[in-house]
Amino acid sequence: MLFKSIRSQMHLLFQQKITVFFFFAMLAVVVANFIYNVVLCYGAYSVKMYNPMYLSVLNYQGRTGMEATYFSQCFPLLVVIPAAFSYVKDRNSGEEIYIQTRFGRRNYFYGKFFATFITTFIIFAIPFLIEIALNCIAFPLSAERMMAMSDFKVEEYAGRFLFSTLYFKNEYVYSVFFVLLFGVASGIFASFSYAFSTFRFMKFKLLVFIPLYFVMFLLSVLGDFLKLSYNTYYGSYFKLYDSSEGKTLPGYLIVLAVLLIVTLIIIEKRSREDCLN
Amino acid sequence: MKSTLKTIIIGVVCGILCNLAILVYNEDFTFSDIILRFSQSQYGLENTNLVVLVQWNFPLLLFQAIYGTHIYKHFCNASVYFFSRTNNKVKWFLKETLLLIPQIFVFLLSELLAGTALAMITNNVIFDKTSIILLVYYLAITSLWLFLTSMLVNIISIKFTSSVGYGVVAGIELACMALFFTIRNKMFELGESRSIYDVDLVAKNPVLIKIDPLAHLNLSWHTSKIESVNKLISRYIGIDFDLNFSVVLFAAISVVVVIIGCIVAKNVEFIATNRETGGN
Repeated sequence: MLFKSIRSQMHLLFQQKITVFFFFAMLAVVVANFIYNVVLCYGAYSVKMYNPMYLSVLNYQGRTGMEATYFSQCFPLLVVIPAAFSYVKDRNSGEEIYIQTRFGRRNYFYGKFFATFITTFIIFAIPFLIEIALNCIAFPLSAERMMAMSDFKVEEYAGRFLFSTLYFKNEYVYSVFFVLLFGVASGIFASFSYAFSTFRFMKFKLLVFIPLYFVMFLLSVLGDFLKLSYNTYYGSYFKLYDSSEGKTLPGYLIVLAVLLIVTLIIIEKRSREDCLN
Repeated sequence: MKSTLKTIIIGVVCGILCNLAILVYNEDFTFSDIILRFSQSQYGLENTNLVVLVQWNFPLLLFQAIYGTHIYKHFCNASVYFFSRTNNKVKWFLKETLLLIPQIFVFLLSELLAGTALAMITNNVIFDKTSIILLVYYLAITSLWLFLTSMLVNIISIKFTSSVGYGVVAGIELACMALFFTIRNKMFELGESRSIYDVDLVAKNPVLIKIDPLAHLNLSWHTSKIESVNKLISRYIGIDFDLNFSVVLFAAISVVVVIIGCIVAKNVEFIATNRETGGN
């Protein structure tokens, strides 16, 4: 029953115009960046060729570096748009009752949680995985040149990446792993916003944007106040080759785990409300 | 009264959270220093970490989210019955607009006073005369900015749904924040240095700085004809960025936004189904 609920809610989500539009917009950005890179590097010698992973959209050190900065700055707003409004929409239109009658209240809430998570994961991870594949096919894998940094500083520079040991072993596995973790993080953020939208005061859709941004704000304030040596700015964790200091993988995973636990607690409480048995 | 209490509580919480880092210090602060902190003066050439902008802009974004439905909520539930009893929709719209202004001042003042009270716990806060002039300018510029962005969220929500309204306005604001980071080399540079502590900070391209709306909120990038205020704020040389210019610019944009709002409110189609709740 839970599986049927998940499947039908995902079907409903993918029928929405905004979700489909968002997915194709991400694909369009990736393809446009790829075509730009092909035109830029056409006819270049293999020795002077850029490393394929450095040409990605998520890379902040790219030739302009602007798309990655804008994307990672607006990320808390963007992640909510495809799938997290579904509960507010159901409640406001009154369809919530009919769907709960069909599946049961518990299956409805958990089904929506999984549907939100999987939809956001697909929308944010698949375009970047396609981009990695396209870049590996089109550009020579032996190309070594990294933009904007000279070779002798590689160890110090790359030591600040999130999982630098993996980077030194194999940078392609690092990129794939980063994109998958990025997809999981966006799924968790969207489900957290969905869980918060089940509260009564969330009457309007625009209030769904706030809880996630408030969490990011709190993290940055507490990082500043407690004088932690870790970097608590959310933007540095979503760029592929970000070289800011003090990034911490355990901290990142702890924040994701805490958000996931809070989400599950809220959904469990909500699904037990008003139950007769 | 209830909504004013809500605004005060949100303002106090935001003021305390934003200014939490001041508890670590144990020095003398003037009130002008605290006003400058609240006007995002910590972001500049010395500190180009975007987290500073996120931290100090959050109260503004929160206010826009909460009061972005101040006028829009009347178009949501039972709007047909409500508007059948208003003879002049433009007059109603202007009246609702005027009701928003006291809330903005209450929010800004409660945020500032809560932050100052927090600073008084471990530091010594000195109130001087120039801080009053600076306070007037801070309230004028920031309240006009909050007014025009909240009205913009309301108006776009009336035409489309509230998520589109807030998404567009907040998205533009976050993009402006990211803009500071990506073109900072074109905006500012280090000038000649007379010693290790005395380096000139030069504004390279004044036009580029003035285009970004968030630069108008940052008081320490401005200059002023009043000498005592100018000593506190003008951090960058090579730019003539008068405080009055920002006030006049934001006031002009607010008037344009209100006029557009009156046109939108007058021409709303009530026969089409309400997109937010699906009913009437």
